[in-house]
Amino acid sequence: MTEATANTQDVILDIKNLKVNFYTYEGVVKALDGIDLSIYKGESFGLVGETGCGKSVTVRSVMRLIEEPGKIVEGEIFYKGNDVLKLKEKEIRKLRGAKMTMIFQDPMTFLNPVIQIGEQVSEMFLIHQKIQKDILDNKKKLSKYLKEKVVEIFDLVKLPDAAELFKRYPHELSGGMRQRVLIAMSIAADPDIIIADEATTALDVTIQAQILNLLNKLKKDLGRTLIFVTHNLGIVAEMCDRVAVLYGGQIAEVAETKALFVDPIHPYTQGLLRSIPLLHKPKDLLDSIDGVVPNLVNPPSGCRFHPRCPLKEDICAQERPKLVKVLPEHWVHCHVKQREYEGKV
Amino acid sequence: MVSDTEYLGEEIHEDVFSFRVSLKARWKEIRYAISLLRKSPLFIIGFIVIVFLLALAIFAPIIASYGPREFDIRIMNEPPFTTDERTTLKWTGYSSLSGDFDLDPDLKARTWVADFTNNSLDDFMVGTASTDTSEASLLFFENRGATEEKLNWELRDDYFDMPIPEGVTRVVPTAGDLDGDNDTDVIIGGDDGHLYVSLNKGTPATPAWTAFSILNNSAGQMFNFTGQASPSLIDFDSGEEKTYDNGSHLLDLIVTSDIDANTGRYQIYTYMNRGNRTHYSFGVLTYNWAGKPVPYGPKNVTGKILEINPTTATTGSLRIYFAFINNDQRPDMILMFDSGKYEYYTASSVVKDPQFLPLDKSEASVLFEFPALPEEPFLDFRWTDFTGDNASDLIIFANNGSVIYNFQYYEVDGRFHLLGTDEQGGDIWSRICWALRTDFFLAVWIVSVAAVVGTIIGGLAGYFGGWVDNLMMRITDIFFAFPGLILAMSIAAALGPNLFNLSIAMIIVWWSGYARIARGQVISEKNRLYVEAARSIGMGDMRILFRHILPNSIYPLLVAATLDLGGVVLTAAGLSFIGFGAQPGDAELGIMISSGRQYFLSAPWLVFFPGIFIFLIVLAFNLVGDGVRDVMDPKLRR
Amino acid sequence: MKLREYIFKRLILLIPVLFGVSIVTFILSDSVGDPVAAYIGTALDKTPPERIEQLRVQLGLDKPILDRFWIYLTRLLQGDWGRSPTLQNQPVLEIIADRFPASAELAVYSMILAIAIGVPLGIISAIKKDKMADQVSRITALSGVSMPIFWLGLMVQIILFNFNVFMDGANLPFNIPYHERLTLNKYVVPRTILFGNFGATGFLLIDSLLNFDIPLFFDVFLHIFAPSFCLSWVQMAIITRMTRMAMLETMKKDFILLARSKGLTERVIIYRHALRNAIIPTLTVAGLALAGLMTGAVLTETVFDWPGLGWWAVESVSVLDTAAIQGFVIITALIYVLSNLAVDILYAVVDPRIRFD
Repeated sequence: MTEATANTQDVILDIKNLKVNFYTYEGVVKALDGIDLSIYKGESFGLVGETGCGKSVTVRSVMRLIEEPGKIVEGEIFYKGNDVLKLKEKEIRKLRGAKMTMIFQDPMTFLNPVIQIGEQVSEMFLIHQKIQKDILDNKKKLSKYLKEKVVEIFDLVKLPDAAELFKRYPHELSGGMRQRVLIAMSIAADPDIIIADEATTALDVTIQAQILNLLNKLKKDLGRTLIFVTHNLGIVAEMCDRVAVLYGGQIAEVAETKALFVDPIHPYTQGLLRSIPLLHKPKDLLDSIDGVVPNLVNPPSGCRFHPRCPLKEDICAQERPKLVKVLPEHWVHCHVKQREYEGKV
Repeated sequence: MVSDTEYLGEEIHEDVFSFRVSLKARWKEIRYAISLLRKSPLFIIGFIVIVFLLALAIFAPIIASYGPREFDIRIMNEPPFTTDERTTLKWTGYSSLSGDFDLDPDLKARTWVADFTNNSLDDFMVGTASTDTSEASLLFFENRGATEEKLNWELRDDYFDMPIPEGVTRVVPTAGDLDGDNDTDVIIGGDDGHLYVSLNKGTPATPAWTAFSILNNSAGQMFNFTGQASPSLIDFDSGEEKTYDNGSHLLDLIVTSDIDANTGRYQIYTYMNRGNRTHYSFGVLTYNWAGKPVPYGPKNVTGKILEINPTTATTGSLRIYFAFINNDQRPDMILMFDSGKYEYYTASSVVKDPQFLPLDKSEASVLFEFPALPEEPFLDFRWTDFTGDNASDLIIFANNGSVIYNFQYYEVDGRFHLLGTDEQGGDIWSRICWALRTDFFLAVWIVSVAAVVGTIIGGLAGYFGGWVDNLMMRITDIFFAFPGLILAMSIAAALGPNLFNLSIAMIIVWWSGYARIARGQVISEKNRLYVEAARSIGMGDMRILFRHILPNSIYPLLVAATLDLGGVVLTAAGLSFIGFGAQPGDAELGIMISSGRQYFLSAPWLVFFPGIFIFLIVLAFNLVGDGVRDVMDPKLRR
Repeated sequence: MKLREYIFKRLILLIPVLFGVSIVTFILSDSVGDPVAAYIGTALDKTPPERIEQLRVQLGLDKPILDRFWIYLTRLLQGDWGRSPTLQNQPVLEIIADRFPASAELAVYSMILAIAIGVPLGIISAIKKDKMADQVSRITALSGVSMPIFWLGLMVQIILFNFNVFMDGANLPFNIPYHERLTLNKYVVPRTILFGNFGATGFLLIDSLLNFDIPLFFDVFLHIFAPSFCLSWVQMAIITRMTRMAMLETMKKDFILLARSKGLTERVIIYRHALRNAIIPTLTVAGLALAGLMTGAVLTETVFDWPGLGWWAVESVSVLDTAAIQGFVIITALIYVLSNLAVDILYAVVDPRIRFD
């Protein structure tokens, strides 16, 4: 994606040819197969796709949070010019939480059930912020300082009774509140990149909207880069400046949100958009993409979408397409469409 | 599946058909699990060890050079050996000794052996009754030692020359050190029903006998029996350290009498010696066997009445011989009737409070070998070590004056002892092979019965819920409130300690665990769609439970059972160790350790090898169980 | 619900359980042994029938079963638990009071040892999963679980015996003993200064210190060393396995991933975030195991002639001494239920999610 770097905007995160395998008993799951992505500073970027297409794996790779039995086998991830994958464990720890944070999907399970919320949040200040020595040495002062900080950040994410919440345990909070705690934690150390990994999926629709608004506001106020991982196209349309569509561990299409929704190019994206029920155009049967999600232990050869693709040609099964810029700020991963749009840029 | 249901126009949830589908899926899962197990080294080690031990158990008859109960007949326990080549005892055939004794064919001999001369060779005291004269005599034969498989006896008129008390026409002698001066004194029973005593006040070599005087009991009463009194002196309550009077180590008196004409029964009287080392004092009648019930006493101590087979009990007098035939260190008893018939009895409880039972020779833990006695009227025999070679010899006095003998000799066995021999002369390696059979079988039997019972009860409780469930849970609560070992111990003790009862006790303790698992499984399974589907087509509860739900809940139970096998082996061995399972002589690893404990400081291998094998079995079962759990437990699977 | 109310409620629930236990023991005694025989013990044969009949009336054996159960219950509540012929016809309650401290002392020390070794070993094993350290500690733990403890005890005795023989020439001031709680002919069970003749804590190590009796302390320490070593090895194995499994499971939890994403060091993640969650199942196991040991580690006490409840249980069960068995069973059930309660309360302290309802 050398074209992208030439863009006037600053690239804050540049993923190149990322490959991640999971070594399970059933075989090697090739979860990511050469992901190329550039994310610009200050934008909100969406990552969409079906379950199991590798969205979460991509963002977790960015923070090097891939756990056993997964392994990053190839690729480079540049954060401000440094390859994250080549950093030492100690150095990456300084990035995590401080420069990049992640808001996880399920607020029920991602908070430690036996530690008070205030304590869990204040850990962020403790490890990522320079605290004056006299405060650090004095236990009373330190806890007072931390509490102030936590209350401050709780107010920012609009958690009510912040001071009182400090001593509470996760199970005593509602789902929305817990999600706010997670968000509070993620912005506590003032990071450059906030990754929301299905951050609203587990919530009620009304709470979802509140959280999304909150995130949007935070992004605007703080001017941070936001990466949105979701399978909900509505959220993407609402929140994101640019979108990448993933399919079976490969990127199908990258475009600005509006362009993607108005004029999708990749056949998978087209199918995906058609399958959304629309209130103003009710149909008897929703359109669906035939076939099933590929088994990533033995993925289809060539383009991984080809067994389900309506435009399938012989070359699709034989050769993997490249991610090619077909329109300004619009990349597509498809032999047929690339030919169609050739020379239009 | 889809094609079958297509006509409905919609896809039916697969769960509705879950029984067959899930069985198929489970079968796939099992094959998958096996393929995973193949990659786990610890599981493979465990599996190989189990196969190896199982092979030892199965091929025990081939591998083990000795049978499960093949021991030497040793009256005295000897310290065990490691490398000693084992010897077996054999009997020679009968040969005659009539020339040495030269008894009158008219005499009826009643004998007693004791080492009168203190030269470590047993001498004979023969009491006689002549059939045609009214004169009884007491003859002393000194043992001159054995040469070339021949016993030599010499009649010494000068050694014992006390006249027989008047009126006595038939003499039954017995002898032992009564006054603690380290020489042998004589008691005779006369046909007048009295006992007479003569003490040696001299030395063993130059005796000075007191005249016969009538023997009284400690209350000062004369001993008086029906017809002929046949006394035996034996230290009856020795060997038991924990008896309540601390084991007197003094000779006690046991007297048998003629058959009672009125009741038609024999009597055996026991008089415990309540004196001290220098003074004998035979107590009043303590126990009375054979014929008459103990005057009073609650029902559960009636074992003291000995049932004598009516066909053997005919007429005349009864004589009693004590020996240690099996290896339980309790006296065994041979009853000899005037008809020439004889019966064996063995003590089945502590020495102090013995309960004699007919001895089943096939169940004696010592391989019981004893040359058959000729069944002749008025036969008398003695079974002692005459030759001083630590092997018993047998001498038989027949009523025609002939004396025949039969002695034991050692034959070197020549078979190799891989792990040494135990305190009974048994080969430890062989016994371990046989014991593995017992322990494996016990473990599988206990676990499978407990699992089946638990699954059925737990399944019913889980399926029906309500009060059935409540009741069952309370019952399992009670079982969980007791420590398993203690509960099993109590049940085994109440049923009577043996291996079968042990297994029953352990099943009673173990089932509740499976019941809980089964209940949980059934509860989680019974709300599945396929159960509802089955119910909606009118399937019966039992059919749903046993054909559909239980087969789907069986896997966690199987895992639990595999994990339990090791624990069961450990517990069974432990219970046997403290005496609630296997009995002495059984080939079982726990009892091997328990009986080896007597010598374990000087002969550690007695304890070491059986223990190592228990450890191996349990370790192997645990390795296998862990492996199975790891692949079957979705929580731990990655 | 408040903690106090919860405890109260649980204590009330004790009553039906203990009632059930008393029914079981009653049935046990009624069917297994002869109460008269157990009452007068060995003198049975010498007792005239009139006296036995008198005793039957006195013990209420001529009454219907429900009446008998009622009598039995009232006697239990009055503290008349019968006498145990196994131990010179001492009252059962006295025997329990006498022997329980012996079992408890052994249990507590070996449990402390087991937890002190088992928990760290389990953590190391979980952290270094599938590495050398893990394999070693797994095999150690597995061998402990698979070890027949009576055999282990005998092996330890053999080693100590040979050590004593070997050190014979060295003129050590002591031999390492492996029987009983203390050298009986040399020392007496102390009465503490604090408690006077009303009895000591019963824990000889503590009592001897309270009495400033250093030689006795040393003697008791030597005595308790071997049995508690054997016992703690087996318990340590169980605790190690439990801790390892709980740690592994916890390390797979989502909140650990979050902790990682926060940039915490592995140390902090393990000891602050994972351990507090993983310790909960370990606590249950340890608590229940301690209860089991307190009521007598039957095999260990038998092998080491330890004058505790377990050894007495074996002795009394083998001669069907009903009074003793009843007493033992009741005390066992009581300890089990109480320790269950204690574990539950401990839970509430460690795990804030538990609410008492």
